[in-house]
Amino acid sequence: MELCVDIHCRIGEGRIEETRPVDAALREMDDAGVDKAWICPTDAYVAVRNREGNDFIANVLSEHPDRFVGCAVSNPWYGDDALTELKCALDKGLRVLFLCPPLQGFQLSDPLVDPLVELAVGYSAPIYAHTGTPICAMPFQFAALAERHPKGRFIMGHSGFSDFWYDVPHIGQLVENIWFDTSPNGPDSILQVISAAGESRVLFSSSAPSSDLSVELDKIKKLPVSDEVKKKILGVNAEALLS
Amino acid sequence: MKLDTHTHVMLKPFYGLEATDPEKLLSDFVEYGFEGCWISSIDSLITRDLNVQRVANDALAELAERFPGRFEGFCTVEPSAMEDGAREIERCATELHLLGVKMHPWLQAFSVTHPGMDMVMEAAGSFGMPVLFHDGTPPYATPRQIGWLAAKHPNTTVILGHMGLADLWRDAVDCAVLHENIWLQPTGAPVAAIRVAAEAVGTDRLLFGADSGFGSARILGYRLSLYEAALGEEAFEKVLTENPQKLKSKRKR
Repeated sequence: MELCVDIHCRIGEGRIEETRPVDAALREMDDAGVDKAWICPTDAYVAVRNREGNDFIANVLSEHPDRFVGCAVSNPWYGDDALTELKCALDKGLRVLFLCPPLQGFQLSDPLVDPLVELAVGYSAPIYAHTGTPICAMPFQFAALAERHPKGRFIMGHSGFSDFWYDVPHIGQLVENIWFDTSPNGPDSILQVISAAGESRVLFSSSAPSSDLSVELDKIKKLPVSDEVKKKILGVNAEALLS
Repeated sequence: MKLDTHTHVMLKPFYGLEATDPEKLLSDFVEYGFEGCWISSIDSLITRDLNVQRVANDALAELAERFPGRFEGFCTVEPSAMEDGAREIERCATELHLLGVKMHPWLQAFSVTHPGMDMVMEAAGSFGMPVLFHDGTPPYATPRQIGWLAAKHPNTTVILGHMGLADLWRDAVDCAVLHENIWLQPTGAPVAAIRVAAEAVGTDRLLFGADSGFGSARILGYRLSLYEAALGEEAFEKVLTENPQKLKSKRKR
């Protein structure tokens, strides 16, 4: 059986539409045939309660080390404290830096975030950022950040969904250290990104519980691409990114 | 009758896509179990020339006549055309028998506060034509802006065509709670947001929209699955079949 990895979802307690208990996530993964998920905490923990969020994720990892990869959160406005928090989280075994400008209140191209990115790069941790929100989280802003840190491996969260699908293929052609995830983009937008960036830089994600894991997975399985390409999108590329 | 209430057609090639082949479009819909769709013209959204829009509105009417019961047209006008725009809506209602009006503040580059929009809303309302807005996109197509316009024209039905998309769906849901003339079409809004909308507003004013007509028909299957995951089978069936008919029945012929 081929490895299946969901590289972006949330887990834990939050507002009603964000809440996804660990056991519910595991059930959804088992039902859909997803082996592993990269997990982030819910909004309040991403925005301000970073320590609690990272500790929660670390705790989930300790209970289910084979099923989850932890994403660390640290709001860049906390300055040196943000660096301390990220270092602490990465030392606890979290492996990805998760940035969310609309929740954390900064622009993706702002040098404010550079120290966190440099620290993540030093740990060989991929940097996943939410994109698609005008003003603060736009694909070309993310491209500027990635170009400033050529050793970093960046993941364009949601690939600019929804109104930036014009921009994304151009970035895919130009900036080689950016990977792209699939949810909640329509099938044709994903095909455009595969065509522009190549199938090795596209990663399956669900964005659960904002979207639905099984629907997002089914969408990838139905893409008119070879089984080899699907295998890469569904798991091989994610594993390579963490190796 | 299963309907996609948010479909685009193109009279001319657009951004690397071919002009719409209506027979192919309908056969794609049949493949996914749909019997018809509500169409608007991209050609009208990327111009400020009312004459170009008149031609596109005529084309929508021709499609509706050529494929009776399968296509229902939504005309578009330029708000700054003022009285001429309102007269074009009247022509679309009385001579072309189109169902509604489609406005796209982002692509058409207007603010809903433009005085011409009062004329659009009044003309549409007088014929019971719903006004379908692109929404979810700053700076001119946000739900609160369109909600303000809907509040000014309570006798005109407004459809928020994306329910605020990923970032502004909370505003869209709140606008529908506040204003009973607002319907929600959560095309591109998260599954979790559709659930919140169904809880806060109920399912009587929800519509299924796929934003189809660009590229392949695969988007239909994807959006169907998302709506069904959000609403469950029974409510989804109502949204897909009953609600469009209910809205259509408001149209004064």
